[in-house]
Amino acid sequence: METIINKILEFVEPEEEITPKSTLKGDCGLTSFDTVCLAEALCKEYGKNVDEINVRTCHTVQDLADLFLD
Amino acid sequence: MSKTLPNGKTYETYPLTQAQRFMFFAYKQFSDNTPFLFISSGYYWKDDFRPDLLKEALEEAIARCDSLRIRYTLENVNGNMQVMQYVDEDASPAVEEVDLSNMPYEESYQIMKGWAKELMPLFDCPVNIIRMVRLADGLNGFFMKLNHLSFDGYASKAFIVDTMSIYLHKKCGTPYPKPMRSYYDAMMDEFAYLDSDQRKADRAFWMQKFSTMSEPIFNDYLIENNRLKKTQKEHPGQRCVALYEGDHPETETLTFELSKEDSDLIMDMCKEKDLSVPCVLMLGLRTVLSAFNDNQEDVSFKFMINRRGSLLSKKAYGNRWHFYSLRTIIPANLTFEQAVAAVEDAQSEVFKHCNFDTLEMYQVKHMATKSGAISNTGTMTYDTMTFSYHAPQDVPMENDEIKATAIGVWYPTDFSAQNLYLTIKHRAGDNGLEFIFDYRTCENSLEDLKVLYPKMIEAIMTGVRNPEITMGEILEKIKL
Repeated sequence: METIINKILEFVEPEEEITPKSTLKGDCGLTSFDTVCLAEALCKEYGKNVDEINVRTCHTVQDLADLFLD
Repeated sequence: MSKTLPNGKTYETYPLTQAQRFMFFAYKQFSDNTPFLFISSGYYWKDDFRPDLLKEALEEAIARCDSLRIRYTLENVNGNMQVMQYVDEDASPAVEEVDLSNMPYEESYQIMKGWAKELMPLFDCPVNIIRMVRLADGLNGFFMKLNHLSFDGYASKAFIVDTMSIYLHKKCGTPYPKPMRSYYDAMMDEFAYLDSDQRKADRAFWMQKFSTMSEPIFNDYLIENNRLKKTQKEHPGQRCVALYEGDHPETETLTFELSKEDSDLIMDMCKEKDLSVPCVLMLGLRTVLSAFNDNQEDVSFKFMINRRGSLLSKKAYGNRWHFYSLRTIIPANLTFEQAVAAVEDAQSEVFKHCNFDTLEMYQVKHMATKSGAISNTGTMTYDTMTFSYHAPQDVPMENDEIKATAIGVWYPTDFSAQNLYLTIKHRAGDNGLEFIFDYRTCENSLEDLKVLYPKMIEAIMTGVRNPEITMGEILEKIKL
């Protein structure tokens, strides 16, 4: 989870601390484009294919982590 | 390569990035010898104005912005004259002060629009102007004429945010803004992509995509003079249209303001359902294009991607625009909410491969598609118009009362490389939505554009008020 949160911090500078419950768009302030770029960066980190990942259905940091952390 | 200036300083020179190359190409090809290559805007508000502090803030923001020191030059590269760039550390623009407070606002607007339209040379000279301006009725602020190769809309707004953050720090003691990032680093990132495996993968993705998809279809926004129907009389079955014949870059601008209440309804619904605001707006646009073309389910238009993901790309200024076609096929039985998701999926698919630059993408498209139609670089296109959404970049203000007085003004040059360009942005004062149609006057019907906007809003608001309504029902509601 720490890797995921650190990666998010390469895209935004939120006022509040990011937790697994933080929402990606609301709390973290990520745009749709940020979210796709973030997924791309995480795919590189975890060896996944970005074309097989759909981040639209991820609402929270935990949802995103579930795509990458087994 | 390098360039030695008269003051003896020598700087490394670099080619244009891919985004800059496209901008320069569009300028030379479709709007040559016009002020197209400049982006002019202003930001004004009413407070107990401290011009001394604003001038200091502007000078500090300029010092934090490498893009304002980019110079362009022509160099002979292997026998070809090539546009190159370098960052000249001594080239910061001076902040000029102009007082236009003794005339009505409309008159001062025309003067500033005149500044925006003045031609300026490009090579080996200053290419940006920043002026502190006093306007009528206590409005004060600053005007910026920025070179479009060095700034896109996002970067120009980022400069406003940085300046105001510094002004407020000086005036009210708010925290000083965090550092901006290096233009050089962002430029090197762009060049690194050109030799990357990611670029090869993106190219392969687009080649596969274009060579296997069905042929798109042009959906005109012109009602009486539908260009596809006209073309099909001579060429039955043709699905694309010659949109860029002739050379008439003259444009006019038509602006519509959506009320704060309706704007808030859209944004609240998006927040509640975790939907994307630009995708709701793009759904509105593609729905009205569908309605104008016998409820066609297959709609394409170009959309601008500013590619600002990482903090480096967000804070290094520059021009990062790439233009891509957004094609959606949305059946009538989808609900509004499902249709927004379909638009977002289509958008995400493009986002994943959008570092592949616009010009090369057109080449790939040309090679891969059966008809060989390419949009905007040639004359044949499936993309009816261009869409761009400027997400709100919160400009800090002393308090809500002063914020309500703020106005952000865009000064059109009245020239464009695009046939019809819809920009949607948020108003400075109340965050409501503003729809700006920049249309070439040679072919476009003002009357049709005046139909397009209200139909688009009706489609959006119908869906926002009832996300379970089907797209078929919305099409029925907005039919001509």
